[in-house]
Amino acid sequence: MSAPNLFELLRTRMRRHIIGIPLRLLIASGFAWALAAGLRGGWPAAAQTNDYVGTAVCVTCHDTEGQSLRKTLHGKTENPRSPAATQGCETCHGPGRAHVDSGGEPEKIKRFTAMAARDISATCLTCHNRGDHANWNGSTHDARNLSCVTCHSVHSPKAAKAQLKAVSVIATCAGCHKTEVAKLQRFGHMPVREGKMDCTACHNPHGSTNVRLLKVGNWVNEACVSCHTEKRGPYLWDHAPVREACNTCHDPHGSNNERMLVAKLPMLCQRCHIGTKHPSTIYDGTQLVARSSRLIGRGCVNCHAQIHGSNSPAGNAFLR
Amino acid sequence: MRTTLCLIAAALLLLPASVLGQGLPANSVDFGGRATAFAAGSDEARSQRYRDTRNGLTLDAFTFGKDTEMRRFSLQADHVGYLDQHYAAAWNEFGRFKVSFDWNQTPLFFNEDTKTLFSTSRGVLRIDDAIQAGLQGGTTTLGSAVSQAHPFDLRVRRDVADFKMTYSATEHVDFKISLKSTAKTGNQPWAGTFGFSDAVELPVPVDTRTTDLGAGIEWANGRTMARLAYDGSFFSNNVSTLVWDNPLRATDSAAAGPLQGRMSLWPNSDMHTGSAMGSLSLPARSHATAYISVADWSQNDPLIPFTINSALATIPLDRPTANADARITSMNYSFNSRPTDLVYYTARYRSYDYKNRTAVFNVPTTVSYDTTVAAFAGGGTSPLSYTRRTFDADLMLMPFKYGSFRAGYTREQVDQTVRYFDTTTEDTFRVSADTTAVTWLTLRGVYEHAKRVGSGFDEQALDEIGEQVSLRQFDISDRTADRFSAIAQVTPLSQLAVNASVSVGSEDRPGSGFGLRSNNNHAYSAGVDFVPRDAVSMGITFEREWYTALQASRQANPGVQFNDPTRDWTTNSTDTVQTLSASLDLLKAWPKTDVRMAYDYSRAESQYLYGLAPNTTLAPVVQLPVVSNELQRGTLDVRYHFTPKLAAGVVYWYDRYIVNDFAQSASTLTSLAQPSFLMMGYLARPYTANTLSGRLTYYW
Repeated sequence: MSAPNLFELLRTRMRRHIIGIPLRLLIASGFAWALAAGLRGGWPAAAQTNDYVGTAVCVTCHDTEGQSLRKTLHGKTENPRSPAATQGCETCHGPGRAHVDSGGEPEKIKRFTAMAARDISATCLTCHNRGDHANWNGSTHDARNLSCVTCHSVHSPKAAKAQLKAVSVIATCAGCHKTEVAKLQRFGHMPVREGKMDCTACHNPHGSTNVRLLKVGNWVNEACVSCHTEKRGPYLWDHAPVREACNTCHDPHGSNNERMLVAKLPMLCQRCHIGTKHPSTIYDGTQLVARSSRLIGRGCVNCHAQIHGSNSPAGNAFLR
Repeated sequence: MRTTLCLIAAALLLLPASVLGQGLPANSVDFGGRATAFAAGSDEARSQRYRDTRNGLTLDAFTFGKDTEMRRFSLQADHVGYLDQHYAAAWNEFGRFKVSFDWNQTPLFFNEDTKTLFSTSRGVLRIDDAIQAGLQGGTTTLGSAVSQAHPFDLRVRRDVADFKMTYSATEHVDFKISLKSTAKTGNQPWAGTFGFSDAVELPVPVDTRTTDLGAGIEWANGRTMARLAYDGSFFSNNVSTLVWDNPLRATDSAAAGPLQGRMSLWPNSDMHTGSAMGSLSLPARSHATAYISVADWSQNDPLIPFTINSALATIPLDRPTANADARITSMNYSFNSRPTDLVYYTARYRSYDYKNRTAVFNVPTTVSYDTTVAAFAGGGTSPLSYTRRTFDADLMLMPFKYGSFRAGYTREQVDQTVRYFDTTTEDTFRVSADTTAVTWLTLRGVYEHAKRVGSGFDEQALDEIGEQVSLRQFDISDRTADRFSAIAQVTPLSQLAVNASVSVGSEDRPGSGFGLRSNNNHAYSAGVDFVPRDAVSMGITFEREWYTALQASRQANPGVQFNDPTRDWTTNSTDTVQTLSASLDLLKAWPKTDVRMAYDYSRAESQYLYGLAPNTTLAPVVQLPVVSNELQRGTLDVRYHFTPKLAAGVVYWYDRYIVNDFAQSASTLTSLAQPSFLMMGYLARPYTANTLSGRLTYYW
């Protein structure tokens, strides 16, 4: 190793080390703070048994809510995990004794329309802390102050599934993710607008171990190849950006281009391949008149068919 | 938000209005018939790209369910007998087990008027020997030979069978098993080339099956959760090799090209993943989560020889099988706490290590296009490995319970092999404000600033692939990015909601001499939803988006041209999109009658404008035409309820698609035989479809 390279290596490592120190300090101080707060605050006190009045008392005033609950999974007493099998209404709304004794004062009971988002979520998470919900805390939606009732309704859902407040999954997501939903109408799209899949086919809105709330795997590509398995490989010849992230070239929500590409071919490929000969050529109107095989049809992949990776020994240029 | 896509309206049509808001849909079934009329010249395949709207009798939206205190059982069937049919069954024995089965069939109809000279037998595509001999001998031309091409449907079908079971052994313990089998069959567009003047578009046979198996055990109580899981995925391809005839050759030649070409298709591959996860609720409303998974991806398909051209010398293979293997280790640790009502903070560390353990496959000499033997400068394969490490921290302040302010930071470091940067590091700072749970107002806004810097620049990596050293590939180039988005919804009356959103983003790549230099986007939307009474609702949303990008290149051959800046050129690309969605529901506005209407419109235009250096030595450019796509869909659904158990209705769909794409238009590709290209006629064409369905719905 030459002296300048050694110097560069040392400098890089030193820089990484120096940058790493504040990060580690931040993490350590966070844990220390939480521990201290925890020791000071302790666990929340459990409610006393005689604080509860029972569902039968609740529905004397709140019959509509009681009726609606009975039709949902929350109202199934045979399920030991359901609210109905434990404290009924008070499983979620908390002990009702004070509320009843005060003649129905709203402030004397947990009302979800008047609670902070994270208090609402914490209530739901006392049961829904497994399966798809296990990663809610700290997730993207949690960080944006959404709560479970932002999307779901326990007493008056409109969707046939998942007790959503909107009529469907897509309508729910469209409330905020307007551009992504608009992209479903594009020329290149997945079969979402045809009803064969919806947002939750790829995303878990409750949090995930993957980025961007992707439901499967631990990185973008793992989510994509869970359906597009043929592109999983590993291949003998990898195309580096393909191996790193499918969304470098594709927009999974939809695009104006074939195969949901983020730009038309050959322009997309020319963002990285500008070397000699044909990748550097301007494929303009003249080339269109000449019907260049790099411009018409499917562009570069008219020849480089194995662009996702090749298992042919002669596949170095993804032509085989 | 009630303003939605037509598909949502369509989905609603499948549900009796009475079921909404209840736990289980009412039992119902639709019987009827459907007729679709296409305007002359319509691209019926594109109209039915992921669906089947053929004429015929229909049995649709069958829903049967039984709900008791002990169990819930449901059956569903949609589009019975059609290519987009779907069946589902579920059994939930409350507190004991849940079982579900789903069969979902999705067509992917590429083209119905494609033609080819090839006859297909699994992975072997043959052209009549006489045609090849005639073309090689010069007694015929490709232009005349294509008259013998036969038509075929270019389509793929995906069948997914998905079984899931959860057994609750105790109140706290679940065992989960899942099994999914996905079959893909048909043909899709593909390519095989024999050189620059001899490209061939092919209908590659698709016959694959993926079997996914999952098993796990999960234990949870109110404060703690632990999970152990295994996931396996096994991909098998029944057509592992593609052999196709060279239309221009009848014999193998070392100088003029081969009789046929050969390539490996998608290899059989396996994935095994083991994972463990645990989460713990701590005092002071704190929560910690840890997750780790180790996966192995492998494939060991036999390797085909370098070429099928018998006139070329055989090149020995470095090894007989691919023996490709990657070990992926992922970790995720998060901690969050809300020690007071004022403060919430989260910290997360994520690591994703893709370690490609495939040995280098030495290739001192290779074969291009089954035509030319040449030394390979790279010397062999370059297995790519990379490691992503991400640290996230967010601090949220909640001065009032209806909203929060957040400041956050993310640092992502990616170490990678093979590429021209050893490491890229991106620092992202963000602030956001979210006002929620106020009944009449929702405001959300976020601003992010990110800077990505590469280190360990390896000029040789660019040199080796013949690229300009100032090229920066955009997925790892130095980059400064800014993004702002905000959304507001005001509900001054319970019947009226007005919403608007804005999104602005820019990315600048100051270090990129060549390649993508910048890209920007803007999007604005506005919408109104009005529900004057339960029976009447309407909404409309409009969105406009702009996307721009600037990239730079140099048109050069090796030698003097390579360093000549007068040969530089740029591409300025612009995409503009307008999307409109509107809906009107009139439920029982007239006695016993439900009327639903919806309309979606989307128009996109893309333009690529070339620019030359001021002192250019290149020929003047002729700009390409604008590419445009316009989609319209209107839906009208009228349903009359004779009795509470019987309804009759008609549904009308209007679909119109207009496309102008110079690369795939019928005016460009007037023949299957292009100057250097034998095509299949896979085009982008417009369509107009009018679909009328009549149906009887029975509820019980």
